[in-house]
Amino acid sequence: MKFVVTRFGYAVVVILLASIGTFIGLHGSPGSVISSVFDVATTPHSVIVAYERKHGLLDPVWVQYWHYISNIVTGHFGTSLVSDLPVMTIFTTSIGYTAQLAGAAFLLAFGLGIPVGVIAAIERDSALDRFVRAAASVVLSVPNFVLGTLLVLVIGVHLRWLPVGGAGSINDLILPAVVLAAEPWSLTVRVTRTAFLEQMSADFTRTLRARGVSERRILWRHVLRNSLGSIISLGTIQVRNLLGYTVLVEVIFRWPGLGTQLVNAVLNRDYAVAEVLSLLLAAAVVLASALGDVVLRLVDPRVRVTGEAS
Amino acid sequence: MSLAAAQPLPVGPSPGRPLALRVAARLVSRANLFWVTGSAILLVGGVAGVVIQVVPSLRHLYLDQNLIATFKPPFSAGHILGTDNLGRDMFWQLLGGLGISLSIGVGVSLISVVLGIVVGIFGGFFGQVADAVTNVVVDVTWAFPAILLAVVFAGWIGPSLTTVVLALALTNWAGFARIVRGEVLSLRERDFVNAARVLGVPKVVISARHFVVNLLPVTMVMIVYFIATSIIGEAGLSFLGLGVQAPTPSLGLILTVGRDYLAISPWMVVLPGVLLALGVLFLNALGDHLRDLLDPFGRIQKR
Repeated sequence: MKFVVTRFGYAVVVILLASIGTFIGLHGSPGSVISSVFDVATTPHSVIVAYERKHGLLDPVWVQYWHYISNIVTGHFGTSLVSDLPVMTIFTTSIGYTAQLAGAAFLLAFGLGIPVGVIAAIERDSALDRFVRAAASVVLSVPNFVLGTLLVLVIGVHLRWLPVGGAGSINDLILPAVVLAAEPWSLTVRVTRTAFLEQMSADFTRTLRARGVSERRILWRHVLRNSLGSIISLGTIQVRNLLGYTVLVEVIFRWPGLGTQLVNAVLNRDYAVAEVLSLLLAAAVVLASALGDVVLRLVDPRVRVTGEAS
Repeated sequence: MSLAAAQPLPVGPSPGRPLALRVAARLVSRANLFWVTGSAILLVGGVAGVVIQVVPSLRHLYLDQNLIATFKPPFSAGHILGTDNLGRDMFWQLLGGLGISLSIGVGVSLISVVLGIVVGIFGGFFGQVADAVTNVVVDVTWAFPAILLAVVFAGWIGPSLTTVVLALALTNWAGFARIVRGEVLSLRERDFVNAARVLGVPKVVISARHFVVNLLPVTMVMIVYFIATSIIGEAGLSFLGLGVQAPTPSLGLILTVGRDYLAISPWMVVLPGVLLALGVLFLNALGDHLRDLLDPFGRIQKR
């Protein structure tokens, strides 16, 4: 319990520092939101000043930072500098799409990755195993925007089986989810296979076998549990990668999620939107990593021992 | 990958040939010919791609436009890989793009590796406060997904080649700093470090003389992986319009432009895509072989 509190407390500190990072990063940039809202050459100066005053852009930097942080803590997020929409509205309309996409990819990557890795480990050095390993290497080497564009070309443009962009039906989800899942899938296969092979040749497995425990029980009860550590660690790293790569995949498939909104906000210097969205993404990564550590401690008693010792 | 193939290579001061030479010899003899020749061809192509951009009299090869010969398919007369939407020769465009990719990859990995080593040693060897500070900095950097940080960063100082290098390096180093810190934690307990400290050698000198040398194997493997991820990162940023700007040739840029002409000329997407994938495949394989040679106990976690 103490571990849970300190781990999440540390996560909050990291998120707070990340908020200062995003704030300095975006406010320090030389461009200005003014030029993406107004035609500076023809707009009267008074209009621009009124706009700046309304959005608090003339306040001292620490006041602006205070507004930003208190907005986030109280949960009303402020309003966009460009569209004047509440950031909350932008967030709630896009988070659903990103959650759908990242969730589907996560399920695909782990749902298909773990079994394939297990089978490859059991059938070690068979033709199947070699095929799986080759496939994982190749998939790992194709950048997701290349895979996305090629799939659009073959399945969307030539075969006309699936739509090439947009969001709405389940058909729209298939291509982007597959593209996003490709890299985590191959990493999951590799890690699962390696972890299983390691556990299957461990001393305790030999002992169990000698005691006459059935192969199935050894595999599912002992080997799987001992391999879970590496798989969970990989899972938390993959949350980071999935959230990062959705940015690219959303742009390729014109998927109206957080990534698309964020790229637009950064390009328009819409601080209000960019700061909140990037901080929420960072917070998701930090919390996923903290959650991963906690879960790991629950399922694997050995982590507790080493954790206490250090 | 396979544990059977893993044989530790002696590390540290050794008689005879230098480490780099021994590694090169082992790599060529052990790895199958396919990977080595593939990587060599890529390297030669990349160097040629840099040369045609650096030598002014050669720039016409990839810059010359010919608006009456656009979208030629591969194996057309005079254009072995066809032409793009402006009638520029695809072969030279791709070669130039490969040159840009490789030079960005090398630049990014050198910066990330130096930063990672400095911060990692600082955290692992210069007391608890230093460790706590570097841990927080690494975790905060790590909190931002790589592409996201690069997008913000590229939006910040404007799209250009330097932006790409800085953005990618600033996202890469944190992971390596973690690995280095872990290594230093075990290195600092070794007898030769204790001996040096007892003799009164300053910590900075120990770091520079002993740690850096012992970190070399891990670093070499990491450089190869970093080049691979940077090539993907550069193409991704250029693909989003946040990276290298035309007329500088870039594989990501060719892909983006090609996306608008998918139905007319799929080659503009297929060729750079395949080249990117092959390049990363070769580099990953090279990295895996290097790791089997230099890191038999799996200390390096990829991504």
